[in-house]
Amino acid sequence: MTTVELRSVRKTFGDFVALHGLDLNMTDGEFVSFLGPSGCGKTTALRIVAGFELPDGGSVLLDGADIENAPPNKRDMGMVFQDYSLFPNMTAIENVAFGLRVRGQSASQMKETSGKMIEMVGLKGKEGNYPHQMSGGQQQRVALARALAIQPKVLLLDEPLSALDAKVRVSLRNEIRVIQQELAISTIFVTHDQEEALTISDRIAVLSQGQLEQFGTPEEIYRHPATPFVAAFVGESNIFHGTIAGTHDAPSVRIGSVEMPVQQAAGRTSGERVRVLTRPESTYLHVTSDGDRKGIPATVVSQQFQGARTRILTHLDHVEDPGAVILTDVTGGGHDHLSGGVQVDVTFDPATALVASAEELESATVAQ
Amino acid sequence: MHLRALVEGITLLVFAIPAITLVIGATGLLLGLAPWALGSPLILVPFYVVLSFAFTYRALDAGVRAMDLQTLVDAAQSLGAGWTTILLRVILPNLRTALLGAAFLTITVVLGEYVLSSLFLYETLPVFMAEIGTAEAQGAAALALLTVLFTWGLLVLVSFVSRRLGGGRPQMTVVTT
Repeated sequence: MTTVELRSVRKTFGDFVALHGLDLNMTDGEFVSFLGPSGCGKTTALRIVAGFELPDGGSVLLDGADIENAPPNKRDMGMVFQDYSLFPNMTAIENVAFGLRVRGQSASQMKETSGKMIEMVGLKGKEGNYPHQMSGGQQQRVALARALAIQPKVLLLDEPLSALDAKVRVSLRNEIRVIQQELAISTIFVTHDQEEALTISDRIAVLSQGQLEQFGTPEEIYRHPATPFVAAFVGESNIFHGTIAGTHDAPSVRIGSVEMPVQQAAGRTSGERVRVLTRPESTYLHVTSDGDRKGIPATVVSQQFQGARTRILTHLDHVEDPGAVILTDVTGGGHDHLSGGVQVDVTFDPATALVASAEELESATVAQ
Repeated sequence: MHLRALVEGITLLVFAIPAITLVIGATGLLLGLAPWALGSPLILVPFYVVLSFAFTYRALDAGVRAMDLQTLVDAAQSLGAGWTTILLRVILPNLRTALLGAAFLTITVVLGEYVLSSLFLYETLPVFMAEIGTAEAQGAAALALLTVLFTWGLLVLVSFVSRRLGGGRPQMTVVTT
């Protein structure tokens, strides 16, 4: 059983505050991704867990024990780096065996374990190749095998896929997830790619400007973003300008001349200018019929066929931000009637709509 | 970065300070502290170290930059290696070409050094060649040619050895000044 806990971890580099007191914990065998834009502190947090950086405050606990004073080579963590970092003077099998040799294993043990690891990452037959004789994807597989060979308590992955081309990236990320689940090894994965994080994580920690914005399952992060930053950074969001109309029993936002129900208006005052963020798949279009308004009036601009879904772009009519494009995703066929120029009403799912002030949204956008 | 700039500046000092200044300063110091040192040709060694510092530093620096030392050290540490293991199994093997280059550059610098040995009154190869050149120009020219051939042979050797040691890897560039 291996748990990792970060308690109020702070880190500064000169005047730059990389982490503002990060708190999170991961359970045994969990796959946790640190997701955020460049400079958000995700790699710093990982390097603090690995022991390459010392925190200015707070502590890192491994299985409940503070490991602040343990050097990186005593933490029992395997790490895979963005740029492979294989030892150029060693073959693939020698790279994998390096950690085992350091641990004083016998030659036969090393050979057996390294061979198994090479086979597990699908590189049987490439044992004798030097790093420069392998592709980027193969090198990263060797790096993964090398990190796993020592049977670490925690596997740390520092943007391991970002140097690979798109096709290899997708296949290797799936392999990483399968291997991680097979070995049930607690894993921290650093990425700025939301699709990667959403696809393979048990939980995601979204970081911005050194602070934890939200820590939850991929579905929670996507469907119920806790902050404007998460809503704007993860996935795509529509932004409606409006003012708070109802606050207590029936919270609602007036957008243009239409009052739309929402569920997250606690703490807001009536008349407060706000933004409502919705996902394209939680935003709906209704063809207008005379005298029967169902939502915010809009005009269809165009359709984009995207395979399994069709994206429909509309412009809102008669509202504060008439230039804004509203995205709506619909599945299946039969949407030909929603062609350019058609008048529609736009509604959204109040349960997933996020209400934020203009300032909150602006600071979230700047942080990206 | 600041340290790198400082070291690079120090390596260039030897070209900025005239050799006669170095010799007079060192002689004055040694006469007071260890006059016996001036009686041995080994007194040239520390001066040769200073003289070749610029070349060895740049050769090693190029080697270190080519191998992304920081990440390799991090990787080795994460696998449980201590500093001795990292030095012996990771850093030195990957710096072999740069080390060989630095060593051979030092040899060639020392082979061609004239001013210091002349001022300290020791007869090294360049001093001997200069002396013999006044009386027998052909002999001096022959010696100069042999020296060039020897240096060329060293360069061929470093290329061959580094290729054999590197397991067929692409060669790291050795930067000379």
